[in-house]
Amino acid sequence: MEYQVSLPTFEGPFALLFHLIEKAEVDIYEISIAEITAQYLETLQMMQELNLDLASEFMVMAATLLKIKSKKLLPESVGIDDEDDDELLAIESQEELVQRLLEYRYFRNVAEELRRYEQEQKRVFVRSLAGKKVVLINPNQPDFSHTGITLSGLAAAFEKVLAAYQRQPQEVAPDDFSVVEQMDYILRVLWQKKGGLEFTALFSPSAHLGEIIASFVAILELVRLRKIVVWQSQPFGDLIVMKR
Amino acid sequence: MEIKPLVEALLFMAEEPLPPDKIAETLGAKTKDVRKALRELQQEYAAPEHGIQVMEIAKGFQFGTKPAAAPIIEKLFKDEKSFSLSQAALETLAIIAYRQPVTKIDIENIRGVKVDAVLNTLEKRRFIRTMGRKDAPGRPILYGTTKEFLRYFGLKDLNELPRLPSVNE
Repeated sequence: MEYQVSLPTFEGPFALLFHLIEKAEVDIYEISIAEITAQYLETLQMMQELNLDLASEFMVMAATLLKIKSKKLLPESVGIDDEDDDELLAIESQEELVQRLLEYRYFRNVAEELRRYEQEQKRVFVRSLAGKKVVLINPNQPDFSHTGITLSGLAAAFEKVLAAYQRQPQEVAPDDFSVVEQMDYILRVLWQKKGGLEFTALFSPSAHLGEIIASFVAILELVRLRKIVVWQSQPFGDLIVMKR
Repeated sequence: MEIKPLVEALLFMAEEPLPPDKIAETLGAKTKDVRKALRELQQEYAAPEHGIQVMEIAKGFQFGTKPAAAPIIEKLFKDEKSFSLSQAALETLAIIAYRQPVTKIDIENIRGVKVDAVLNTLEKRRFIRTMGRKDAPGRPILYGTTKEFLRYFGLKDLNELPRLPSVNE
């Protein structure tokens, strides 16, 4: 029978080393490389027994620790064949290891501080004009600079429409929507809206799946034919569809 | 009308931080006077009888609720986009914020793990952006933080990043 032992998850080899140093309650400058290596290897073994998916970086650190340890045991005059060093972390001595650990600790502390900022910010709400999206207007230039719509952005917008569709009670309807019809419809709607329309507004809330898909393909086709443009006024903003 | 109430009205409408020079341009007023109005509004709203505050974020100004009101607000409103960044994402962001412009290899050396996936996510969420390429073998991409990064953490600018004792302390 398999049993579960709880072991904290480690972001990487440095995080694991830190955990061990903290557990041993030793000063980072006074770590014994032999001891820490032994503990490190022991933990790795435990993680393997728990079938944890071990990233290769953990192994690289293990090899690096062993290299540092063996170097310490050898008289200085004996060189170590370093030809495979490309595979290892560029850490040659305990001093370097300590330096790297300190650097990592520094940024881990910053990350902790950022976490506090994040949580604080979560408790602050800013206005959002629900539904009525107001974007900043720049009278000097229509902001076409952000035409850089990515495929994922478009997919996300489409998913939003689909999600809204799935919330509607659904009934079976005949598939009588053609892409050509939807193209006509979209152009007609956009003709009246010189300022463009939100992507989602092109899909009626009660639309059937067939209609949604036809409309989406119609939008793609119209973009390809350069009849309309799709753009975003701000990062993560709604996609705006406009007649060219 | 004096400019202060107009500045206040613009702030009320803004869904993202408004830069003072943009407000000044809109009002046809001097940026200096707009800044003065903003400072006054900031002070007035800081008083305990107000539930909202004037925040300075990413060099712009915006109204936001006070943290103390959060539990009440959450009773009535739901933030649909609520999520927290992973530890890996925060560590990576910390390194980029302090060391920018910085390459992927530099970040990986500090964290001791590969960061491709994290960089991808952070770029998608627009917390980081590419800032050209380093003049080094392979011309690796350089990364830096964005305005969205400042907004997410509620920072005025990069100088407001947490100041911690240096690496060796």
